[in-house]
Amino acid sequence: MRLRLFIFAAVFLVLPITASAEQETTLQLGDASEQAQWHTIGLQPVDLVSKGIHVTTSVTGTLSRPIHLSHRIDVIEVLYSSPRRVEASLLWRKRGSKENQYLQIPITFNPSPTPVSVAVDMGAVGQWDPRAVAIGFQFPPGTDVTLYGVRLQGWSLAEKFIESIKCFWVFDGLKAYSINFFWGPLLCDSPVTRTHLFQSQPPAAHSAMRVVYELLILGAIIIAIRGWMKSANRRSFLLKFGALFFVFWIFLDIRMGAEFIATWTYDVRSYLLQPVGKRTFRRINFLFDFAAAARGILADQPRYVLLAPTTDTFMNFMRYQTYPSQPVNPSEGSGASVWLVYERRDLVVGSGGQIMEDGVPLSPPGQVVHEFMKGTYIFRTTTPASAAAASVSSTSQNNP
Amino acid sequence: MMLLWLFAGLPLPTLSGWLLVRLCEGKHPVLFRLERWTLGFLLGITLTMFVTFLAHIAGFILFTRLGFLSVQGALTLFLVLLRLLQWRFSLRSSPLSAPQSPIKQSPIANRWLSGLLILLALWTFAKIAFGSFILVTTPAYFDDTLKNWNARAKVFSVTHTLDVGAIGEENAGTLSSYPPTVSLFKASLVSIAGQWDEGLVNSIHALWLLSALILLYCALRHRTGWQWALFGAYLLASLPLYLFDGLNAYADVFLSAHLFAAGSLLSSGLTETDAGRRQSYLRLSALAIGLLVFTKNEAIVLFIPLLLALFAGGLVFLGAKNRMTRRDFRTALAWTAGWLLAIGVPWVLFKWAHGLGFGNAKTISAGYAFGWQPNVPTAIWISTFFEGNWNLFFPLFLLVLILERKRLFQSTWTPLVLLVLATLLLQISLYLFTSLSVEALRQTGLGRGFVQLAPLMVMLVTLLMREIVVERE
Repeated sequence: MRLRLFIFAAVFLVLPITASAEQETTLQLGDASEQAQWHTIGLQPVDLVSKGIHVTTSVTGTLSRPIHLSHRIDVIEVLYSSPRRVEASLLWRKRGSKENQYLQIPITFNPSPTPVSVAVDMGAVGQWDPRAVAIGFQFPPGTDVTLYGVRLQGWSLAEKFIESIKCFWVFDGLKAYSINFFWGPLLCDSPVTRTHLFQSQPPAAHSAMRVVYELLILGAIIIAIRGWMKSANRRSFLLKFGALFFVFWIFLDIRMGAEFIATWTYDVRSYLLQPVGKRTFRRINFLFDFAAAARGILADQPRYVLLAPTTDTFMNFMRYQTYPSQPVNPSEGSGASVWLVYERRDLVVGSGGQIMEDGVPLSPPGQVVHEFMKGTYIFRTTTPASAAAASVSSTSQNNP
Repeated sequence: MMLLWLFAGLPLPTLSGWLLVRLCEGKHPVLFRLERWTLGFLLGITLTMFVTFLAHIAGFILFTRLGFLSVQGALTLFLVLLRLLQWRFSLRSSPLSAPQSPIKQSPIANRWLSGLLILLALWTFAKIAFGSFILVTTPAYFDDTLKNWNARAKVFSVTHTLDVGAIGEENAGTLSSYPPTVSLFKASLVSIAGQWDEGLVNSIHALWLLSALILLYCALRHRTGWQWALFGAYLLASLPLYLFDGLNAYADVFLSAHLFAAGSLLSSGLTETDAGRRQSYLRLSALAIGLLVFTKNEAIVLFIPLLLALFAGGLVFLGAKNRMTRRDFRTALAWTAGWLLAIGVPWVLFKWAHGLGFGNAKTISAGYAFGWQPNVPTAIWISTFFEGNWNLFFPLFLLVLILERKRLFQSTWTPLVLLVLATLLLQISLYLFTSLSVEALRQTGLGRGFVQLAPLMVMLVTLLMREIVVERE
């Protein structure tokens, strides 16, 4: 009977916080009525196009509008397109603050010819007011962005609580920094943040250790009060608190152990259980098999040119894997007859037989010896080293 | 199958280490059998690689199979002869050897707690087994493995020489300043196996992790029951960053095991009441301190000065209290100075001769700035308390220090307390007041610095917790 009463009371108490489940408001910037809400300060006149607001500016300026929503805002998602990267700021004005007193956080608009969205978890931002009375953007000189829509989302307390629990069990994969530190368990309160949890560094979420410490302090207080009421001694308090402490210890051990097991299991699935050539390994994908395949052709080469997406990780890995043959950058590649191109779909072999980047030749003429997939191949030059260098130099100079 | 070569590469160095450890113990064996073999494995590899290094720079050998095995064979033979001499001598002079250190009886522990401990041990074993499997079946991945530990092993294997600066990058000189033990042992495995194998060269790291756990278990077992010892080993293995570094081809856990051996043996020596056993401990700690030189650069600039300060302070204290004879005093001093000079002088001279630095990935002399480094306290605060690196270890560490504050410097744990606190203080000071702060701000060296100290810290925490829980019963 008491249990039923307890369940009824619990459900009754929980109902109000579940009542306002996810709510959202979308501001369609293509609508004339919506466009009329936005104000500019310092910007050159913006273009009100049929699908949104086109902002081009040579000076710093802001674009903002007042908002009065019936629901809280936890995540702001912006739909935009832009020919180039823009490091702008997202602005908001708190309730009760002065007319021009805005707070801001950075927001990056990556280049995209087609509309894409960028989401910001405002719940993880200090000073954020979920009932902000105005929002906007500050754009730097050189901006060229078209804004199509702004989606304002909010979640109920119950949903946030569930999200936090889910977030606690989201694992970071093995990254280059994993050997130095782990972010550990995090708490976030929206599915948007959870989905992109470790994509931004540092993650836009709070450490779950804060809650662990709060619970430990609360537990210590309860144990102390109970002990005081029963006139228990200090040792009894320490033992009970110690037991509570190690319950949390074991729980966190299981959490971090699960993270290790999950990442190692991923290695088993993506690398160990896949056939050679199809297996991929963490961030370097199938570089290990690529290096193994290239080792034969590099056997008599003291050095070779490596063209990979980023320099450090791939260069270090290849330097180690192909030793004593050493990888170099194109600028140091004079005399090298083997060029390894890895995951560089942006590079093409031009009609002159040279590897080209944005129409600029990088290599002397040669030919692809073996292509593993588009953008990943072994290339061997056909001209003598000195002539090749001269050829590259003269071609570069002739290029407009 | 290539992994089987690990078991061909281990016996001679381990046997050498065992013989040397047994020689140091002399007529007063103080270690458990498991502990002696583990210490033999750990110190034996480092010693063998040091002798290999000496033989190589003296021009006697190249880093080939013949070169490695001839050094290992000769060293083992030499130590066997010494052991035989010692054995015969001890038979003549003292037919009865002293008993081993008494094993503390476990209190009648709660069955439920013992069961929980065993469950946690199984969980830990599963993690280590899975992690070791990944370590030996996947390619090297992390930065220092690719640029230093495995890369240098490859250079040694291919060139058969200690080719300073042959790694081919801007860091070559800096990386060559690291003692070559880890890389050289990998090269020795490769030379015995006949070909390079990623799993083979990485596999040794899992054994170094296990050796640190076993040494901690045994060190605690000398002082407590098996439950507390197992609990301490569990605590160490449940520190995420320690476990993860131990299951990757990095050398911080390797260094931590050496530091732990030196620190715990020295603490035991300084607090042992039986003169014969104390001398055994001090001889063993002298060996461990000496070999610490040949592990990582941090050892010379950070750990050895503190260990020597503790050693000197301890001897003066014991002498002042008339607990140590002048002869024992001189003998302990001679052993420590002897090992330190025997290993430190050739290595430091080699460094000077080749212009190699002493810093951790950065030379200490060039471009070192001193002064308050803002933002470092926040970085340390977040890294130790709010990330996933250390579970709840640092709050626990602070709690037990506060609860036991009155007895910290008046008990048998005092040498350990002094060593841990001084090392921690020095490490943190380096980040707070020198340009090494970048290692804390970028979180590249901060956590791994604590990894090196973790076994000693866990030992201290376990012993203090036992004081709190058991002694006050």
